[in-house]
Amino acid sequence: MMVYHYLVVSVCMFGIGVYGLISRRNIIRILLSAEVIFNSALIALLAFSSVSADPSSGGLMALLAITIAVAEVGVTVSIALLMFTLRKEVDVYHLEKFKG
Amino acid sequence: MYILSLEMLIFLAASILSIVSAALAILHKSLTYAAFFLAILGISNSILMSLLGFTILAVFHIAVYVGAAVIFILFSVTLLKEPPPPTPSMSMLAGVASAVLVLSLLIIFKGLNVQAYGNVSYKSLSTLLISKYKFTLVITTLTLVTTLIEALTLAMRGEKI
Repeated sequence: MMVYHYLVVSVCMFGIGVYGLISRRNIIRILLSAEVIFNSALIALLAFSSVSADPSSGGLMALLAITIAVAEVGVTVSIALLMFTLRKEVDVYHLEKFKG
Repeated sequence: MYILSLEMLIFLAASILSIVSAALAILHKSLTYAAFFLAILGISNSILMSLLGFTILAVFHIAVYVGAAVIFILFSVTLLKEPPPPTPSMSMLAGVASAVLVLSLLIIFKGLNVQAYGNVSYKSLSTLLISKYKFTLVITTLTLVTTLIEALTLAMRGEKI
């Protein structure tokens, strides 16, 4: 398979993720959109690194990215649960009430 | 007659599954099903990874990403309720923005017709991690520990109030 084929899949997923990121208000929905974008970026990174001189470096970068993404999920879900405990809602339009 | 190879068939199936599950993860009404489709997206992405030659990474992706992160989201969403849906103007704006982005990126990547296959073994990855990227490994470990403490602090704060 050509790199372009993988990039087409990645770009389509990226577009779907950006749509969700802009149009949704629920913090968990926004997290899901960010995860879709992360998955698309991962495929693009691996497609590019597979044609590079040293594919192992790209693979290692992807490995670390997956690890950090899991940590990001933990923090975002904690914020969402805290928001729900305090305000009984998870609408990011009301997130400014948490200031200070 | 053009005959599809096995690799191309697997690629087509995994790509279609990825795009459909990404769309359903965003558009499905139920948050629980949306998280489930994110798990399907993770699995289909790991098929694409193994087609690219990163088999170890595909296994890691299923074990860590799908096995931990997505299941964590799946359990968490059962505690939360859904806010009102977005206004039509916002959806239209988001649709136009993402369509422009997708078209632009497709035009940029159009000329890349190179065979994609990078055979990466577990040994080469671990050797590189220990020898060349030791400091990165330490920083990542510290980041994970800090994140864990942050998540616990946030959860405890909610309980105290």
